[in-house]
Amino acid sequence: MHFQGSPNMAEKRVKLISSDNDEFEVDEAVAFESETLRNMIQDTGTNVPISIPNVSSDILAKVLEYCSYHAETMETHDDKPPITDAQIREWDADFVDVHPATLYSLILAANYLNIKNLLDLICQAVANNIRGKTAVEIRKILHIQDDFTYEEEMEIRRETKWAFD
Amino acid sequence: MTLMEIMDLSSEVAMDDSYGFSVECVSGFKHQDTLLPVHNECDLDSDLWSDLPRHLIEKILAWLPIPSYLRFRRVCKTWNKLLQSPGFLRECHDVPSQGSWFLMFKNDHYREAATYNPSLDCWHPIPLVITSAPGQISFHVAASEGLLCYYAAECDNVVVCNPLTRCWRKLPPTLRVQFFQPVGMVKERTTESYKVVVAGIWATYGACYPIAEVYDSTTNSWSITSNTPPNFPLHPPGILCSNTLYWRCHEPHGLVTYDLQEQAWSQIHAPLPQSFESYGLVESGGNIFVIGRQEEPTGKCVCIFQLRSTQLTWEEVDRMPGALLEEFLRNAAQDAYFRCIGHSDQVLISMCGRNMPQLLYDVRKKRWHRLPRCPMPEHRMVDGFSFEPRLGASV
Repeated sequence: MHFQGSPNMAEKRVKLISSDNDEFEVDEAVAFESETLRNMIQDTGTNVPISIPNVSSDILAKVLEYCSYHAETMETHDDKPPITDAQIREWDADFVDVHPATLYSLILAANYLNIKNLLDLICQAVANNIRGKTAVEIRKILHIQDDFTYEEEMEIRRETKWAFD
Repeated sequence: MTLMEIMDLSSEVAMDDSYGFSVECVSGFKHQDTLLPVHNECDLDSDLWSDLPRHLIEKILAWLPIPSYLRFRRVCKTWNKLLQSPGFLRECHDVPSQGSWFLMFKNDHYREAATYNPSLDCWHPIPLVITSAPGQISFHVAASEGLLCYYAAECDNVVVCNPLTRCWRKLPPTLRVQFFQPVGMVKERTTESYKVVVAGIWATYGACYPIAEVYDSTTNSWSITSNTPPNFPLHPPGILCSNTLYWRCHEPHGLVTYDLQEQAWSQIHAPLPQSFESYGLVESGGNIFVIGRQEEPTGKCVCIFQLRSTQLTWEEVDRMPGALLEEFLRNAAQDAYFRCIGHSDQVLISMCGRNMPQLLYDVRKKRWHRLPRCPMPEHRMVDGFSFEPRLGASV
């Protein structure tokens, strides 16, 4: 699979190989959105394909879609008006409007590839998903044990009662 | 009593799912441009998410609306103690502001308060709890970027606290100033350093002089400002605009300023209409606005003026629509206490009294919003202040 993220002939191209052995080729500027890739490229150059053993091709494609859009927002074109912050926010909101399972893979990929803005965006999306949930629901999702002692439980209850007084 | 009463947001756990943060309340996240809309209501698969590394969980928690996070303290001990974890507080520090909250005291004992949260458009009926910090918070506070500072009579000193993390610190003694109160606070977001301006008097050889001192957290010391405030007393809180603090003053109608860079006080002679009263100052987009009540031949009205800094004049930019004004004034006594509390683009307008309507005005959008009814019974809305809640703000 070849990913054609913002092709620019003047720029160096970088080859990336996903965990399921698909090859992606992107501009160096796109790869540089990731701190991890930036460090790897600075170490080994752009001639060697970089393998990303823990990110599958569908998730890597999605990550690179994010990176190329954001690399593009940094560029200035004389003939095109600059992309506004509102447009970027809208694009980002659409980008993370995906199934939570995809969000899960994306958060791990963004963390491994060290793409700060993408990681923030996904954390925000997950926070939006869980913010209305109860403590009991959260415990169930994350397999967390309720480990409060009797006294601590009482303390919380005391506060609870007091708040309604 | 040497103990302080401070608002305790951890008691939000009390409201949990039955009150305050129901789904319809949460989905009303209206004033927050920086947060994403809720698109995704699918449930999270516990087989996947239970494997999420802890540091990523903390990152997600830092993005929650603050009331949701406080509610989630009930999940387990670790989550309950995150507010003491420097790593989590750093994550919170990196997250954009969730906007300002307005804390209104229920009565003039300043023991109980309710907080209006514009981003969720709801009230948090926050009670006040005794902690180990000295003094008592009243409406004489200065606030900046998540921190509050107030004068604590018990130790004759200024206390700085984060009401959410309940961390607090007593500042070193002032140099000369007596009978003072904090009139302004400015916190630097990136360095977390802050300055506190206090104004009071200096009594020496039988004479009294107005005097002001500035505390700088980077040196942990006070310094006396080189000249004195030109008009005293000041009406706190001061608002910040281009590294200068502004206060309103009455005689003459105008503004007192303190330039933090130049460390100099000055006065702006920009008279407002004579009948203009009870006004609040706000800064929005680098401009200064006042909002207050004005007597006109046709009756009372609520007007917004913008300072034209080149001509030093005030220009009316908006006023409360007639129908809204009528509703607002309908049940108010003739001499009812009218109050405007501003923060950033938003101003909370209230009248003292039971079941009086309250409004939020957005200076940037020129939009009026009716507040939902405060859940505290017999709330008289005596007075209050605004502050920006930030879990990551350290004292």
